[in-house]
Amino acid sequence: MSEIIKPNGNGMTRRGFLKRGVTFISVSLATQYMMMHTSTSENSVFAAASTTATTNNLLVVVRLQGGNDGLNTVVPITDPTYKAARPTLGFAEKDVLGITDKLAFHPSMKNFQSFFKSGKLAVVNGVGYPNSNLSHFRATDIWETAAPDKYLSEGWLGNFLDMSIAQNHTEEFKAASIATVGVPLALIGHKIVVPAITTIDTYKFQTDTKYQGDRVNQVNTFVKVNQRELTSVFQDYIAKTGFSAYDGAEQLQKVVAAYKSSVEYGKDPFAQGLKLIAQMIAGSLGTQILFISIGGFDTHANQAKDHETLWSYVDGGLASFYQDLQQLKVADNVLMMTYSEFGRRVRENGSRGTDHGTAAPMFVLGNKVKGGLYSEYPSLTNLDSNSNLIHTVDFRSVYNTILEDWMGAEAEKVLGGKFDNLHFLNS
Amino acid sequence: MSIEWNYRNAAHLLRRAGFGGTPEEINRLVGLGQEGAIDYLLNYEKTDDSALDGILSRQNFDLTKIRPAQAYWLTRMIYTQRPFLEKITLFWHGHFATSVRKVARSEIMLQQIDLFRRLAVASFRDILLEVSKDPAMIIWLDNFTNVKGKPNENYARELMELFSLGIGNYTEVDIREAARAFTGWTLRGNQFFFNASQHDDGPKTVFSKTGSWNGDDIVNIIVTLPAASRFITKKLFEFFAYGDPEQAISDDLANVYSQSNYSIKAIMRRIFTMDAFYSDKAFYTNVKSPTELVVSAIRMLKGTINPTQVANFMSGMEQDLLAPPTVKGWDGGLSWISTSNLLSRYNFSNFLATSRGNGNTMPVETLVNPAATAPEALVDSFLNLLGPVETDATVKTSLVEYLQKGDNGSATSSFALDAGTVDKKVRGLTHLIMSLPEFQLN
Repeated sequence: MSEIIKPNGNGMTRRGFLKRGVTFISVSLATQYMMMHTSTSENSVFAAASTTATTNNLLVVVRLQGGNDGLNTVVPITDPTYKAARPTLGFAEKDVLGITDKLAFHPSMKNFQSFFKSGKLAVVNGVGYPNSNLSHFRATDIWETAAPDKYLSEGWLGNFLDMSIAQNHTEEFKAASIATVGVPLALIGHKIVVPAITTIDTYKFQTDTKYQGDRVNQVNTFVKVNQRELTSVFQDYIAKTGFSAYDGAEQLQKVVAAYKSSVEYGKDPFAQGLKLIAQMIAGSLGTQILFISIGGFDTHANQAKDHETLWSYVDGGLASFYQDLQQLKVADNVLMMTYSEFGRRVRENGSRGTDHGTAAPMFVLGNKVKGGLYSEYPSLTNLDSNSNLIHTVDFRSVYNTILEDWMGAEAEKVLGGKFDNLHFLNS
Repeated sequence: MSIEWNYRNAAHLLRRAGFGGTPEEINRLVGLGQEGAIDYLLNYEKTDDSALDGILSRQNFDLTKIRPAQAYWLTRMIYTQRPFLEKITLFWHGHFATSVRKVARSEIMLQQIDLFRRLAVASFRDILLEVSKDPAMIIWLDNFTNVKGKPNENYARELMELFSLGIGNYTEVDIREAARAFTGWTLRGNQFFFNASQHDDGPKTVFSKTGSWNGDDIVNIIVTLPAASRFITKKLFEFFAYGDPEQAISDDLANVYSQSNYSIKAIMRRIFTMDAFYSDKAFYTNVKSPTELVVSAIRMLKGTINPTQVANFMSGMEQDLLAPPTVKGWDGGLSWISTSNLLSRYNFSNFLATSRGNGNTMPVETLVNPAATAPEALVDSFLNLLGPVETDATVKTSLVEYLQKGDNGSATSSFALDAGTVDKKVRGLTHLIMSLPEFQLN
């Protein structure tokens, strides 16, 4: 099976050839196939602009989906405006985990507090962008395309991959999206199609669970018919991609079976997703970017319990993951970054919850991080016209710092503009 | 008409104009003759669809949420007796690609889909007139911010570039001037509202015609342009038949457009009547969209599947109805094919083929033809049932061998189609056929 040429290995991937046709649907399949094979001219544009990342550094992006309440994550605990604005949701000083005399972590974030104390965690306060959008979808797209003013169909990580990976790369899992259904816009680019692995249990060629003895028959038949020499170019493309799908999934399942960590992970999907990421890293699949998402942060009502549970997942999951990375002796090469599409309103609503807001903290975690607080905490009294926080640093500055100092990329090209370096990474 | 009206052509028509069907449904189209079959599909209002209404009211979807809203539409596609209506509605959704990602409310999205359903085969002029006033569209392309003195060009640009004329067939001046004509076209509540105080009623020059135009006037000017007659007809042909139509076909369809007062029904009738529609260029040359894949499979196999679960599988195949990725809609074609998308297709197929009750069922016993119980006949019968799927001897032999294999690859001496074999092997066969490259094509 190893001599089968994987479609990804030929650069025969779908998005690269898409951008040339306004209505791709209009092009006959044969023509599409031709376009895929003649895609070098476009790719050479990327090659010329190649940033050729030379590091083995790996980035794990954590998406907190729904809009994380920044004020109850990094809490301005002594600010009287905070107490007044949060009559039921506000924390008492005795409950939170101290950062400075003015700021504290949510009570669930005990591992974050230790990471902070040991200098591995950068807390970037007040992250946002001008005229923050309050729609979940649009705000997510803005964060993932790094473009508040434009509607783009490629993501910032997709841009990075386009500019950095070799034309003839063979890794099926150069980047992967974990615990998502479908690929997030952040990872959409031209050169490769990133696989989305919702759960490891389902990421395989499934067969009838009632008859396990028949599985090998089904798999053998599937492999045989997808390894045919097909004269129809499009059937051939589908068959080769189909075989790669099966083969990649088998490879992933083997990697998962091969690395049994002694680290205990939580049973929640986020922790299990991180465990899969650790297994993928242990399996040396050539992965450079891993994206993972945890949902539920849209806490309009009865926020306290939900937010507490969610942060216990994030805190516990990342702590287990970090411990695992240490045991694997790869912690120096892994950087974690969290973001959410927006924060929440300063004043709580009438349902013991919070409505959509704007600026919120981002966290960057890893051995190469210069731990500490970055950027100003936003003012709770000088608010925008929707009574939301005014950001103190642009989110693209965080991306910029990671791209420059961690990924070895030409950040300006990836982001389509110049942004500050916040210097939270040791070079 | 020079084609022979047979099962193969009728099945092709039903796959493209609708979502495929059972052999009984295909044979019915054969019996109607080509013209009768096209009439049946296009004059859908003559077909009783009240059973669907009953199914929908029993489901009681919460249409304010995106998954149930998707499930609602999928239910329509799966159970309708008017398959062409839902298929062309899907075409309009991709053409006027508006997304809940910005519109934010799925019930407003469904209101737009209802518009497409209501005007599905109407005059293209009427469709453009109403789409221009559709609340979801007004939100999607920012026309609510398009006001006198500060025009927003978004709608005017996409109206010309993506909806009616195509790039290169208008100037920036046409866009700027047309944007002024749409000023004050906004919303009040969730309904279209013409805000006269925000409307610029000064003279505008669009496509060399000067007047104090409003949005209706712009649409009326656009639909008469030669570029309009070519743009929408080409897109319809490419969606239903094949890419890059020959010049003669384009000319013919442009002519139908102009002669019929822009009638979509007339254009569709011409497309389904053309010999080219039944040529090798058309057969099995479209990659099934996820919608086509799931809906046709369920219809062909007479499945009963929770539509919310179906929508979830479709996310994995990267088609979320009501949430196209950009204003250009879905790219389609081979862009549907990636490793994880294909796994989702295969795993949906396995899910459907192994549904045995508890809300999800594929009634495998009823699908087995009692006259086709030998392995070779069984394989042929299921290839026929699932498309038909046209494939080669290697596949047929592999599938026959699959049927004859015992557990863990062991050899078996004989093949008997008892209830246990039906439950194990015929379900497995269904999954395997649906995982063929041939099955991904329409």
